[in-house]
Amino acid sequence: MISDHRFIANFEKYRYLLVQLIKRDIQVKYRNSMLGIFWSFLEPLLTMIMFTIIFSYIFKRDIPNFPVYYLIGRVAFSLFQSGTTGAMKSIIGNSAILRSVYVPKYLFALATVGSAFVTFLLSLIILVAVMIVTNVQFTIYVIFASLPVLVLLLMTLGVGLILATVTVFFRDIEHLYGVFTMLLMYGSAVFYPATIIPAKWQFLLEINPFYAIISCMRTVLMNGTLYNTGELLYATVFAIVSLVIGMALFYKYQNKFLLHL
Amino acid sequence: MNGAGKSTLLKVISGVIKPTEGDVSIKGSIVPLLELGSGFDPEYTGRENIFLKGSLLGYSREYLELKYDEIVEFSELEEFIDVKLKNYSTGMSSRLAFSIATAVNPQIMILDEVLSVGDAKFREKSLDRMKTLLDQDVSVLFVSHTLQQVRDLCNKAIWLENGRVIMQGSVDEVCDSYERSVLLKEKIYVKSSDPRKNDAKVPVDKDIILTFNAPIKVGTNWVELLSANRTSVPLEKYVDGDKVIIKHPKLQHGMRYNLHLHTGCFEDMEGNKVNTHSTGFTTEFKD
Repeated sequence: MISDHRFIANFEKYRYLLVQLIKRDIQVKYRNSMLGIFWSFLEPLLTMIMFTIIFSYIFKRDIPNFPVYYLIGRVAFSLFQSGTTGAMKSIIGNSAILRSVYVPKYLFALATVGSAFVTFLLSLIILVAVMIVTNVQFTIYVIFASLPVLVLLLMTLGVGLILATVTVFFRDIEHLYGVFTMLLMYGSAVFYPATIIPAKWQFLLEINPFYAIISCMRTVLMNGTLYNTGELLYATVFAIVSLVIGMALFYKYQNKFLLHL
Repeated sequence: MNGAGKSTLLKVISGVIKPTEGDVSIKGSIVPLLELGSGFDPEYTGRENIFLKGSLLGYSREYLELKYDEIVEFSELEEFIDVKLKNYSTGMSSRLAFSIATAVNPQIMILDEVLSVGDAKFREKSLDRMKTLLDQDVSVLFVSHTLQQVRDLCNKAIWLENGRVIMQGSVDEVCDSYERSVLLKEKIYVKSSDPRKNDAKVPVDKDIILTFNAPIKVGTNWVELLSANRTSVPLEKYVDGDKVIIKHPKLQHGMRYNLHLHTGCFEDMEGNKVNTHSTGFTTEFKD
Protein backbone atom coordinates (compact mmCIF):
# COMPACT_ATOMS: atom_id res chain seq x y z
CA MET A 1 0.00 0.00 0.00
CA ILE A 2 1.34 3.37 -0.99
CA SER A 3 -0.33 5.03 1.99
CA ASP A 4 1.69 2.81 4.32
CA HIS A 5 4.95 4.14 3.00
CA ARG A 6 7.11 5.91 5.57
CA PHE A 7 7.28 9.02 3.44
CA ILE A 8 3.50 9.35 3.16
CA ALA A 9 2.95 8.60 6.85
CA ASN A 10 5.56 11.18 7.81
CA PHE A 11 4.02 13.77 5.56
CA GLU A 12 0.64 13.18 7.14
CA LYS A 13 2.10 13.51 10.61
CA TYR A 14 3.95 16.72 9.88
CA ARG A 15 1.35 18.38 7.67
CA TYR A 16 0.46 20.83 10.40
CA LEU A 17 4.13 21.70 10.80
CA LEU A 18 4.28 22.57 7.09
CA VAL A 19 1.33 24.94 7.57
CA GLN A 20 3.02 26.49 10.60
CA LEU A 21 6.31 26.93 8.77
CA ILE A 22 4.67 28.56 5.76
CA LYS A 23 2.75 30.87 8.07
CA ARG A 24 5.88 31.79 9.97
CA ASP A 25 7.84 32.37 6.79
CA ILE A 26 5.26 34.86 5.54
CA GLN A 27 5.01 36.53 8.93
CA VAL A 28 8.77 36.91 9.16
CA LYS A 29 8.85 38.63 5.79
CA TYR A 30 6.37 41.31 6.76
CA ARG A 31 7.15 41.44 10.46
CA ASN A 32 7.03 44.91 11.96
CA SER A 33 5.93 46.55 8.71
CA MET A 34 2.79 48.64 8.98
CA LEU A 35 1.14 47.38 5.81
CA GLY A 36 2.23 43.77 6.37
CA ILE A 37 0.95 41.32 3.81
CA PHE A 38 -0.34 44.14 1.60
CA TRP A 39 3.20 44.53 0.40
CA SER A 40 2.56 41.36 -1.62
CA PHE A 41 0.26 43.53 -3.75
CA LEU A 42 1.97 46.83 -3.38
CA GLU A 43 5.49 45.85 -4.28
CA PRO A 44 4.76 44.45 -7.76
CA LEU A 45 2.32 47.28 -8.35
CA LEU A 46 4.88 49.94 -7.49
CA THR A 47 7.66 48.39 -9.55
CA MET A 48 5.19 48.00 -12.41
CA ILE A 49 4.37 51.68 -12.27
CA MET A 50 8.05 52.52 -12.09
CA PHE A 51 9.05 50.32 -15.02
CA THR A 52 6.06 51.47 -17.04
CA ILE A 53 7.05 55.09 -16.60
CA ILE A 54 10.68 54.35 -17.46
CA PHE A 55 10.15 51.95 -20.34
CA SER A 56 6.97 53.19 -21.93
CA TYR A 57 9.13 55.83 -23.56
CA ILE A 58 11.80 53.45 -24.67
CA PHE A 59 9.75 50.43 -25.72
CA LYS A 60 6.53 52.17 -26.53
CA ARG A 61 6.01 50.56 -29.89
CA ASP A 62 7.42 47.18 -29.02
CA ILE A 63 5.20 46.10 -26.18
CA PRO A 64 1.45 46.55 -26.49
CA ASN A 65 0.48 46.29 -22.84
CA PHE A 66 3.66 46.88 -20.93
CA PRO A 67 2.14 46.82 -17.39
CA VAL A 68 0.69 43.33 -17.91
CA TYR A 69 3.75 42.18 -19.86
CA TYR A 70 5.99 43.26 -17.02
CA LEU A 71 3.76 41.99 -14.20
CA ILE A 72 3.62 38.45 -15.61
CA GLY A 73 7.38 38.28 -15.81
CA ARG A 74 7.77 39.92 -12.47
CA VAL A 75 5.41 37.69 -10.42
CA ALA A 76 6.87 34.55 -12.02
CA PHE A 77 10.39 35.73 -11.35
CA SER A 78 9.54 36.59 -7.73
CA LEU A 79 8.15 33.11 -7.16
CA PHE A 80 11.27 31.50 -8.55
CA GLN A 81 13.70 33.85 -6.86
CA SER A 82 12.19 33.95 -3.38
CA GLY A 83 11.34 30.25 -3.45
CA THR A 84 14.81 29.07 -4.45
CA THR A 85 16.65 31.60 -2.28
CA GLY A 86 14.50 30.69 0.71
CA ALA A 87 14.99 26.97 0.15
CA MET A 88 18.73 27.53 -0.18
CA LYS A 89 18.83 29.03 3.31
CA SER A 90 16.19 26.79 4.85
CA ILE A 91 18.47 24.07 6.17
CA ILE A 92 21.17 26.39 7.47
CA GLY A 93 18.62 28.74 8.99
CA ASN A 94 16.89 26.02 10.96
CA SER A 95 20.00 24.28 12.24
CA ALA A 96 19.01 24.77 15.88
CA ILE A 97 15.79 22.87 15.34
CA LEU A 98 17.42 20.16 13.24
CA ARG A 99 19.94 19.57 16.01
CA SER A 100 17.39 19.01 18.73
CA VAL A 101 14.40 17.20 17.32
CA TYR A 102 13.69 14.84 14.45
CA VAL A 103 11.75 16.56 11.71
CA PRO A 104 11.76 15.55 8.04
CA LYS A 105 14.33 18.02 6.74
CA TYR A 106 12.80 18.60 3.33
CA LEU A 107 9.82 20.24 5.06
CA PHE A 108 11.86 23.39 5.62
CA ALA A 109 12.69 23.70 1.93
CA LEU A 110 9.14 22.85 0.97
CA ALA A 111 7.79 25.47 3.37
CA THR A 112 9.83 28.32 1.87
CA VAL A 113 8.69 27.37 -1.63
CA GLY A 114 5.15 27.15 -0.24
CA SER A 115 5.32 30.61 1.25
CA ALA A 116 6.72 32.03 -1.99
CA PHE A 117 3.78 30.42 -3.77
CA VAL A 118 1.26 31.96 -1.37
CA THR A 119 2.81 35.38 -2.03
CA PHE A 120 2.65 34.60 -5.75
CA LEU A 121 -1.06 33.78 -5.54
CA LEU A 122 -1.70 37.04 -3.73
CA SER A 123 0.16 39.02 -6.36
CA LEU A 124 -2.01 37.39 -9.03
CA ILE A 125 -4.85 39.50 -7.67
CA ILE A 126 -2.92 42.58 -8.75
CA LEU A 127 -2.22 40.99 -12.13
CA VAL A 128 -5.90 40.29 -12.73
CA ALA A 129 -6.81 43.78 -11.57
CA VAL A 130 -4.31 45.36 -13.97
CA MET A 131 -5.52 43.09 -16.77
CA ILE A 132 -9.08 44.30 -16.20
CA VAL A 133 -8.04 47.94 -16.00
CA THR A 134 -6.03 47.68 -19.23
CA ASN A 135 -8.91 45.96 -21.07
CA VAL A 136 -7.24 42.63 -21.71
CA GLN A 137 -9.66 40.18 -23.32
CA PHE A 138 -10.14 37.19 -21.02
CA THR A 139 -10.44 34.00 -23.03
CA ILE A 140 -10.89 30.38 -22.16
CA TYR A 141 -7.13 29.99 -22.56
CA VAL A 142 -6.60 31.74 -19.23
CA ILE A 143 -7.04 28.40 -17.49
CA PHE A 144 -4.08 27.05 -19.48
CA ALA A 145 -1.89 29.48 -17.59
CA SER A 146 -2.07 27.05 -14.68
CA LEU A 147 0.21 24.59 -16.52
CA PRO A 148 3.26 26.84 -16.82
CA VAL A 149 2.63 27.96 -13.22
CA LEU A 150 2.70 24.34 -12.10
CA VAL A 151 5.90 23.76 -14.06
CA LEU A 152 7.40 26.86 -12.50
CA LEU A 153 6.48 25.61 -9.04
CA LEU A 154 8.12 22.23 -9.66
CA MET A 155 11.20 23.90 -11.09
CA THR A 156 11.44 26.22 -8.07
CA LEU A 157 11.20 23.25 -5.73
CA GLY A 158 13.75 21.23 -7.71
CA VAL A 159 16.31 24.01 -7.94
CA GLY A 160 15.57 24.91 -4.31
CA LEU A 161 16.32 21.37 -3.13
CA ILE A 162 19.57 21.29 -5.09
CA LEU A 163 20.62 24.63 -3.60
CA ALA A 164 19.55 23.64 -0.07
CA THR A 165 21.75 20.55 -0.23
CA VAL A 166 24.78 22.09 -1.88
CA THR A 167 24.77 25.23 0.28
CA VAL A 168 25.09 23.19 3.48
CA PHE A 169 28.48 22.02 2.24
CA PHE A 170 29.53 25.12 0.29
CA ARG A 171 28.27 28.28 1.93
CA ASP A 172 29.76 30.40 -0.86
CA ILE A 173 26.81 29.42 -3.03
CA GLU A 174 24.66 31.76 -0.97
CA HIS A 175 26.56 34.78 -2.25
CA LEU A 176 27.01 33.50 -5.76
CA TYR A 177 23.33 32.74 -6.20
CA GLY A 178 22.34 36.37 -5.66
CA VAL A 179 24.43 37.26 -8.71
CA PHE A 180 22.92 34.40 -10.65
CA THR A 181 19.32 35.46 -10.01
CA MET A 182 20.14 38.97 -11.17
CA LEU A 183 21.62 37.50 -14.34
CA LEU A 184 18.52 35.39 -14.76
CA MET A 185 16.26 38.41 -14.49
CA TYR A 186 18.23 40.29 -17.11
CA GLY A 187 18.45 37.22 -19.30
CA SER A 188 14.76 36.34 -19.27
CA ALA A 189 13.18 39.42 -20.82
CA VAL A 190 11.26 40.19 -17.66
CA PHE A 191 11.08 43.93 -18.28
CA TYR A 192 12.11 44.35 -21.91
CA PRO A 193 10.79 42.94 -25.19
CA ALA A 194 12.48 39.74 -26.30
CA THR A 195 12.85 41.23 -29.77
CA ILE A 196 15.57 43.64 -28.68
CA ILE A 197 17.95 40.72 -28.26
CA PRO A 198 20.09 40.48 -31.42
CA ALA A 199 19.33 37.47 -33.61
CA LYS A 200 22.63 35.80 -32.92
CA TRP A 201 21.95 35.85 -29.18
CA GLN A 202 18.31 34.78 -29.42
CA PHE A 203 19.31 31.18 -28.70
CA LEU A 204 20.08 32.28 -25.14
CA LEU A 205 16.39 32.98 -24.61
CA GLU A 206 15.43 29.79 -26.36
CA ILE A 207 17.48 27.60 -24.07
CA ASN A 208 16.31 29.47 -20.98
CA PRO A 209 13.55 27.33 -19.43
CA PHE A 210 12.47 30.17 -17.18
CA TYR A 211 11.91 32.39 -20.20
CA ALA A 212 9.89 29.59 -21.79
CA ILE A 213 7.56 29.64 -18.80
CA ILE A 214 6.91 33.38 -18.76
CA SER A 215 6.59 33.36 -22.53
CA CYS A 216 3.86 30.69 -22.27
CA MET A 217 2.07 32.67 -19.58
CA ARG A 218 2.19 35.84 -21.65
CA THR A 219 0.83 34.07 -24.69
CA VAL A 220 -2.26 32.70 -22.98
CA LEU A 221 -2.95 35.73 -20.83
CA MET A 222 -2.21 38.53 -23.25
CA ASN A 223 -2.79 37.11 -26.72
CA GLY A 224 -5.61 34.79 -25.77
CA THR A 225 -4.14 31.94 -27.78
CA LEU A 226 -2.55 28.68 -26.79
CA TYR A 227 1.20 28.66 -26.27
CA ASN A 228 3.70 26.68 -28.25
CA THR A 229 3.50 23.28 -26.56
CA GLY A 230 7.11 22.54 -27.45
CA GLU A 231 8.17 25.50 -25.36
CA LEU A 232 6.14 24.30 -22.41
CA LEU A 233 7.40 20.75 -22.84
CA TYR A 234 10.98 21.97 -22.77
CA ALA A 235 10.37 23.79 -19.48
CA THR A 236 8.51 20.77 -18.09
CA VAL A 237 11.39 18.44 -18.85
CA PHE A 238 13.81 20.85 -17.25
CA ALA A 239 11.60 21.17 -14.16
CA ILE A 240 11.21 17.42 -13.74
CA VAL A 241 14.91 16.77 -14.24
CA SER A 242 15.81 19.41 -11.67
CA LEU A 243 13.25 18.03 -9.26
CA VAL A 244 14.59 14.50 -9.62
CA ILE A 245 18.18 15.68 -9.16
CA GLY A 246 17.14 17.85 -6.22
CA MET A 247 15.30 15.04 -4.47
CA ALA A 248 18.07 12.54 -5.11
CA LEU A 249 20.79 14.89 -3.86
CA PHE A 250 18.81 15.92 -0.83
CA TYR A 251 17.90 12.37 0.07
CA LYS A 252 21.46 11.18 -0.35
CA TYR A 253 23.14 13.89 1.69
CA GLN A 254 20.54 14.83 4.31
CA ASN A 255 22.09 12.55 6.93
CA LYS A 256 25.34 14.46 6.64
CA PHE A 257 23.75 17.89 7.07
CA LEU A 258 24.11 17.91 10.82
CA LEU A 259 27.86 17.44 10.64
CA HIS A 260 28.17 20.66 8.64
CA LEU A 261 25.69 22.89 10.44
CA MET B 1 31.61 12.93 31.21
CA ASN B 2 32.82 15.22 28.55
CA GLY B 3 32.56 13.47 25.19
CA ALA B 4 31.26 10.28 26.72
CA GLY B 5 28.73 10.05 23.94
CA LYS B 6 25.54 10.62 25.85
CA SER B 7 24.24 13.47 23.72
CA THR B 8 25.18 11.62 20.57
CA LEU B 9 23.40 8.53 21.81
CA LEU B 10 20.27 10.51 22.62
CA LYS B 11 20.34 12.17 19.22
CA VAL B 12 20.70 8.83 17.50
CA ILE B 13 17.81 7.41 19.49
CA SER B 14 15.59 10.39 18.81
CA GLY B 15 16.41 10.22 15.10
CA VAL B 16 18.17 13.57 14.88
CA ILE B 17 21.30 11.91 13.55
CA LYS B 18 21.76 8.61 11.80
CA PRO B 19 24.15 6.08 13.32
CA THR B 20 27.25 5.44 11.27
CA GLU B 21 27.05 1.80 12.24
CA GLY B 22 24.34 -0.39 13.63
CA ASP B 23 20.64 0.15 14.01
CA VAL B 24 18.24 1.67 16.45
CA SER B 25 14.98 -0.07 16.99
CA ILE B 26 12.26 1.86 18.71
CA LYS B 27 8.90 0.64 19.87
CA GLY B 28 6.58 3.52 20.55
CA SER B 29 6.41 7.25 20.05
CA ILE B 30 9.26 9.40 21.25
CA VAL B 31 9.28 12.89 22.66
CA PRO B 32 12.79 14.25 22.94
CA LEU B 33 13.46 17.08 25.36
CA LEU B 34 16.95 17.81 24.20
CA GLU B 35 17.35 21.52 23.83
CA LEU B 36 14.23 22.83 25.47
CA GLY B 37 14.02 26.26 23.91
CA SER B 38 14.82 25.31 20.35
CA GLY B 39 12.03 25.73 17.89
CA PHE B 40 10.56 28.66 19.73
CA ASP B 41 10.18 31.88 17.81
CA PRO B 42 11.00 34.91 19.99
CA GLU B 43 8.65 37.09 17.96
CA TYR B 44 5.73 34.76 18.58
CA THR B 45 3.53 34.94 21.64
CA GLY B 46 3.46 32.09 24.12
CA ARG B 47 0.20 30.91 22.58
CA GLU B 48 1.60 30.86 19.03
CA ASN B 49 4.72 29.12 20.24
CA ILE B 50 2.68 26.30 21.76
CA PHE B 51 1.36 25.55 18.29
CA LEU B 52 4.70 26.02 16.57
CA LYS B 53 6.63 23.86 18.99
CA GLY B 54 3.82 21.31 19.14
CA SER B 55 3.83 21.01 15.37
CA LEU B 56 7.60 20.45 15.44
CA LEU B 57 6.97 17.51 17.73
CA GLY B 58 4.60 16.18 15.10
CA TYR B 59 1.24 17.01 16.66
CA SER B 60 -1.80 18.12 14.74
CA ARG B 61 -3.64 21.36 15.31
CA GLU B 62 -6.68 19.53 16.69
CA TYR B 63 -4.58 17.67 19.21
CA LEU B 64 -2.82 20.82 20.36
CA GLU B 65 -6.09 22.69 20.71
CA LEU B 66 -7.31 19.86 22.90
CA LYS B 67 -4.22 20.04 25.09
CA TYR B 68 -3.85 23.80 25.03
CA ASP B 69 -5.48 24.58 28.40
CA GLU B 70 -3.56 21.84 30.13
CA ILE B 71 -0.26 23.15 28.77
CA VAL B 72 -0.94 26.72 29.82
CA GLU B 73 -2.14 25.67 33.24
CA PHE B 74 0.90 23.56 33.96
CA SER B 75 3.29 26.26 32.81
CA GLU B 76 1.57 28.80 35.11
CA LEU B 77 1.85 31.39 32.35
CA GLU B 78 -1.86 32.24 31.98
CA GLU B 79 -1.20 35.96 32.39
CA PHE B 80 1.65 36.04 29.91
CA ILE B 81 0.41 33.71 27.23
CA ASP B 82 -0.25 36.55 24.78
CA VAL B 83 3.09 38.20 25.43
CA LYS B 84 5.86 37.73 22.89
CA LEU B 85 8.38 35.14 23.90
CA LYS B 86 11.27 37.56 23.61
CA ASN B 87 9.89 39.25 26.70
CA TYR B 88 9.87 36.02 28.70
CA SER B 89 12.56 35.21 31.20
CA THR B 90 14.66 32.09 30.58
CA GLY B 91 12.78 30.34 33.34
CA MET B 92 9.42 31.21 31.82
CA SER B 93 10.26 29.92 28.37
CA SER B 94 11.75 26.76 29.84
CA ARG B 95 8.55 26.23 31.78
CA LEU B 96 6.54 26.62 28.62
CA ALA B 97 8.79 24.21 26.71
CA PHE B 98 8.63 21.62 29.44
CA SER B 99 4.86 21.93 29.64
CA ILE B 100 4.42 21.43 25.90
CA ALA B 101 6.72 18.45 25.75
CA THR B 102 5.15 16.67 28.68
CA ALA B 103 1.53 17.53 27.97
CA VAL B 104 1.46 14.94 25.27
CA ASN B 105 1.48 11.30 26.17
CA PRO B 106 4.54 9.78 24.64
CA GLN B 107 5.60 6.23 25.19
CA ILE B 108 9.26 7.11 25.36
CA MET B 109 10.59 10.36 26.68
CA ILE B 110 14.15 11.56 26.34
CA LEU B 111 15.40 14.00 28.92
CA ASP B 112 18.79 15.61 28.77
CA GLU B 113 19.30 17.36 32.09
CA VAL B 114 16.22 19.43 31.61
CA LEU B 115 14.93 19.03 35.12
CA SER B 116 16.96 22.04 36.09
CA VAL B 117 14.49 24.48 34.53
CA GLY B 118 12.69 27.24 36.32
CA ASP B 119 12.64 27.99 39.99
CA ALA B 120 12.78 25.47 42.81
CA LYS B 121 9.02 25.18 42.96
CA PHE B 122 8.70 24.44 39.28
CA ARG B 123 11.59 21.99 39.41
CA GLU B 124 9.77 20.04 42.03
CA LYS B 125 6.61 20.16 39.98
CA SER B 126 8.39 18.94 36.87
CA LEU B 127 10.03 16.14 38.81
CA ASP B 128 6.58 15.17 40.07
CA ARG B 129 5.27 15.12 36.54
CA MET B 130 8.15 12.91 35.45
CA LYS B 131 7.31 10.51 38.22
CA THR B 132 3.64 10.54 37.23
CA LEU B 133 4.62 9.77 33.65
CA LEU B 134 6.77 6.91 34.88
CA ASP B 135 3.80 5.52 36.77
CA GLN B 136 1.81 5.60 33.51
CA ASP B 137 4.18 3.22 31.78
CA VAL B 138 6.15 5.88 29.98
CA SER B 139 9.77 4.95 29.48
CA VAL B 140 12.04 7.81 30.38
CA LEU B 141 15.57 8.05 29.11
CA PHE B 142 17.24 10.39 31.50
CA VAL B 143 20.72 11.82 31.20
CA SER B 144 22.32 13.58 34.11
CA HIS B 145 25.49 14.14 36.02
CA THR B 146 23.47 14.50 39.17
CA LEU B 147 23.58 11.04 40.62
CA GLN B 148 20.88 11.80 43.12
CA GLN B 149 18.39 12.62 40.35
CA VAL B 150 19.36 9.48 38.50
CA ARG B 151 18.84 7.38 41.59
CA ASP B 152 15.49 9.08 42.27
CA LEU B 153 14.07 8.70 38.83
CA CYS B 154 15.53 5.61 37.25
CA ASN B 155 15.62 1.93 37.90
CA LYS B 156 18.19 1.01 35.27
CA ALA B 157 21.34 2.86 34.39
CA ILE B 158 24.03 2.84 31.75
CA TRP B 159 27.45 4.26 32.44
CA LEU B 160 29.10 5.66 29.33
CA GLU B 161 32.65 6.71 28.85
CA ASN B 162 34.39 7.65 25.59
CA GLY B 163 31.52 6.30 23.59
CA ARG B 164 31.61 2.90 25.24
CA VAL B 165 29.32 1.28 27.70
CA ILE B 166 31.35 0.72 30.86
CA MET B 167 28.55 -0.81 32.79
CA GLN B 168 24.83 -1.29 32.73
CA GLY B 169 22.43 -2.73 35.22
CA SER B 170 20.38 -1.69 38.19
CA VAL B 171 20.65 1.97 39.03
CA ASP B 172 22.22 1.56 42.47
CA GLU B 173 24.84 -0.86 41.28
CA VAL B 174 25.93 1.35 38.42
CA CYS B 175 25.80 4.58 40.40
CA ASP B 176 27.87 3.11 43.22
CA SER B 177 30.58 1.93 40.89
CA TYR B 178 30.55 5.23 39.05
CA GLU B 179 30.91 7.18 42.25
CA ARG B 180 33.96 5.22 43.30
CA SER B 181 35.64 5.61 39.97
CA VAL B 182 35.04 9.34 40.03
CA LEU B 183 36.78 9.51 43.39
CA LEU B 184 39.78 7.93 41.80
CA LYS B 185 40.08 10.47 39.05
CA GLU B 186 38.93 13.69 40.55
CA LYS B 187 40.93 16.26 42.32
CA ILE B 188 40.54 17.24 45.90
CA TYR B 189 40.76 20.77 47.12
CA VAL B 190 40.53 22.46 50.43
CA LYS B 191 39.52 25.99 50.98
CA SER B 192 39.82 27.86 54.19
CA SER B 193 36.70 29.56 55.33
CA ASP B 194 36.61 32.77 57.26
CA PRO B 195 39.01 32.34 60.21
CA ARG B 196 37.13 34.86 62.33
CA LYS B 197 34.22 32.50 62.48
CA ASN B 198 36.43 29.77 63.69
CA ASP B 199 36.01 28.77 67.26
CA ALA B 200 37.41 25.28 67.36
CA LYS B 201 40.98 24.52 68.26
CA VAL B 202 41.80 21.67 65.93
CA PRO B 203 44.97 19.80 65.18
CA VAL B 204 45.99 19.68 61.55
CA ASP B 205 45.60 16.02 61.00
CA LYS B 206 42.48 14.90 62.54
CA ASP B 207 40.08 12.17 61.60
CA ILE B 208 37.27 13.36 59.49
CA ILE B 209 34.23 11.60 58.24
CA LEU B 210 33.40 11.50 54.55
CA THR B 211 29.81 12.16 53.75
CA PHE B 212 28.69 12.08 50.18
CA ASN B 213 26.21 14.29 48.40
CA ALA B 214 26.79 17.31 50.53
CA PRO B 215 27.18 20.72 48.89
CA ILE B 216 30.60 21.43 47.44
CA LYS B 217 32.49 24.57 46.65
CA VAL B 218 35.45 25.23 44.47
CA GLY B 219 38.76 25.70 46.23
CA THR B 220 42.35 26.21 45.27
CA ASN B 221 44.66 24.25 47.53
CA TRP B 222 45.69 20.68 47.00
CA VAL B 223 45.60 18.24 49.80
CA GLU B 224 46.74 14.73 50.40
CA LEU B 225 44.42 12.17 51.88
CA LEU B 226 45.58 9.37 54.12
CA SER B 227 43.52 6.58 55.49
CA ALA B 228 42.90 6.25 59.20
CA ASN B 229 46.04 4.14 59.64
CA ARG B 230 48.10 6.82 57.88
CA THR B 231 48.72 4.92 54.70
CA SER B 232 48.04 6.22 51.23
CA VAL B 233 45.01 4.46 49.83
CA PRO B 234 43.67 4.83 46.28
CA LEU B 235 40.64 7.07 46.35
CA GLU B 236 38.26 4.56 44.89
CA LYS B 237 38.75 2.37 47.96
CA TYR B 238 37.12 4.89 50.23
CA VAL B 239 33.45 4.42 50.93
CA ASP B 240 30.83 6.35 52.78
CA GLY B 241 31.74 6.74 56.42
CA ASP B 242 35.45 6.00 56.12
CA LYS B 243 37.80 7.99 58.30
CA VAL B 244 40.51 9.87 56.45
CA ILE B 245 43.37 12.16 57.41
CA ILE B 246 44.06 15.32 55.51
CA LYS B 247 47.59 16.55 54.93
CA HIS B 248 48.53 19.86 53.48
CA PRO B 249 51.53 22.11 54.20
CA LYS B 250 49.40 25.19 54.58
CA LEU B 251 46.90 23.77 56.98
CA GLN B 252 47.11 25.61 60.25
CA HIS B 253 45.99 25.00 63.74
CA GLY B 254 42.83 26.57 64.85
CA MET B 255 41.32 27.09 61.43
CA ARG B 256 38.15 25.76 60.00
CA TYR B 257 38.36 24.14 56.57
CA ASN B 258 36.00 22.82 54.02
CA LEU B 259 37.04 19.89 51.95
CA HIS B 260 35.70 19.74 48.43
CA LEU B 261 35.62 17.14 45.80
CA HIS B 262 35.57 18.96 42.53
CA THR B 263 34.47 16.98 39.56
CA GLY B 264 35.75 19.33 36.95
CA CYS B 265 34.12 20.91 33.95
CA PHE B 266 31.79 19.28 31.52
CA GLU B 267 30.30 20.60 28.37
CA ASP B 268 26.60 20.64 27.89
CA MET B 269 24.97 20.17 24.53
CA GLU B 270 25.55 23.75 23.43
CA GLY B 271 29.21 23.47 24.32
CA ASN B 272 28.91 25.65 27.41
CA LYS B 273 31.18 24.80 30.30
CA VAL B 274 29.20 23.75 33.30
CA ASN B 275 30.37 22.81 36.72
CA THR B 276 28.80 19.73 38.06
CA HIS B 277 28.30 19.35 41.69
CA SER B 278 27.47 15.73 41.53
CA THR B 279 29.89 14.04 43.81
CA GLY B 280 31.32 15.85 46.70
CA PHE B 281 31.48 16.32 50.36
CA THR B 282 31.98 19.17 52.71
CA THR B 283 33.58 18.65 56.01
CA GLU B 284 35.40 20.41 58.71
CA PHE B 285 37.81 19.61 61.47
CA LYS B 286 36.10 18.49 64.56
CA ASP B 287 37.28 18.21 68.11
